[in-house]
Amino acid sequence: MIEQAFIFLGFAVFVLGVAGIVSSRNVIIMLLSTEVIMLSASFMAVVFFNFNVNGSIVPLLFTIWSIAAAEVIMVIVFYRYLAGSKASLDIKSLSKLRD
Amino acid sequence: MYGILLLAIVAIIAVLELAAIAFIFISKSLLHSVISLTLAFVANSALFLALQQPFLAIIQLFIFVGGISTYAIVGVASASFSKFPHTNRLAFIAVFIILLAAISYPVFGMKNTVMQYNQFTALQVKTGISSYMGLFYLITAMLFGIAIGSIILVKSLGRSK
Repeated sequence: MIEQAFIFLGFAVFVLGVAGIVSSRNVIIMLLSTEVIMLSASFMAVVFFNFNVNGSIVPLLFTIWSIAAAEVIMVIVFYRYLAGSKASLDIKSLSKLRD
Repeated sequence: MYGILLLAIVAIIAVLELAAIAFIFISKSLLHSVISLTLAFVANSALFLALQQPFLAIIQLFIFVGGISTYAIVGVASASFSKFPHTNRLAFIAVFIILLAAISYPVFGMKNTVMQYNQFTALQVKTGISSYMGLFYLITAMLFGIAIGSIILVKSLGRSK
């Protein structure tokens, strides 16, 4: 039962991230939602390792954490681009950046 | 394995983590969202401790401190042009409830400790994942529909020009 409670918690965190991406208009908030999804991925990996799997979970976790860290660098690049073009963070106004 | 006191602490930390993540999307200020994400990461690290993985908990703290501090700097710097209602809260709650009901139904229905014979590997393996396959097929069908729809959209846009 405790195992299912942990899995349910991981699912709830994952679904919160997905719902945030679907319902948000701010670019940074959408990237924060991606961080939440990766948080749930690492949490689920540790849960399954702790309860079910024999072996090492560390390579998988470091992969997830590397992607999360790379995403932060992407945020910096994206933010500099938006600040340079004097655009809004509203994703609905991104179509103005075509020219 | 788990005492009553530890279970209560884990439950409190789990509720704290879920509330912090929900506050990311409820708050209007980007900086407040970043701070609540930090709280969520700290709570998740404490859950790693409860799962008896202190090394992973420490590394998670170290790695995400860098990311979160960057997000905080971006949040402070963008304070002037991020003041708009960024999240449709009704859609957020609706998507959360529907998706959570759909995705967590097999968890409580599955028998994940049942051993079954796998005829390819000739091993007794734990099952329960097979009930998830419908969801993966659904996501694949949705992505396929999005791809076809985007092709049709691009073609119609090209025709109108």
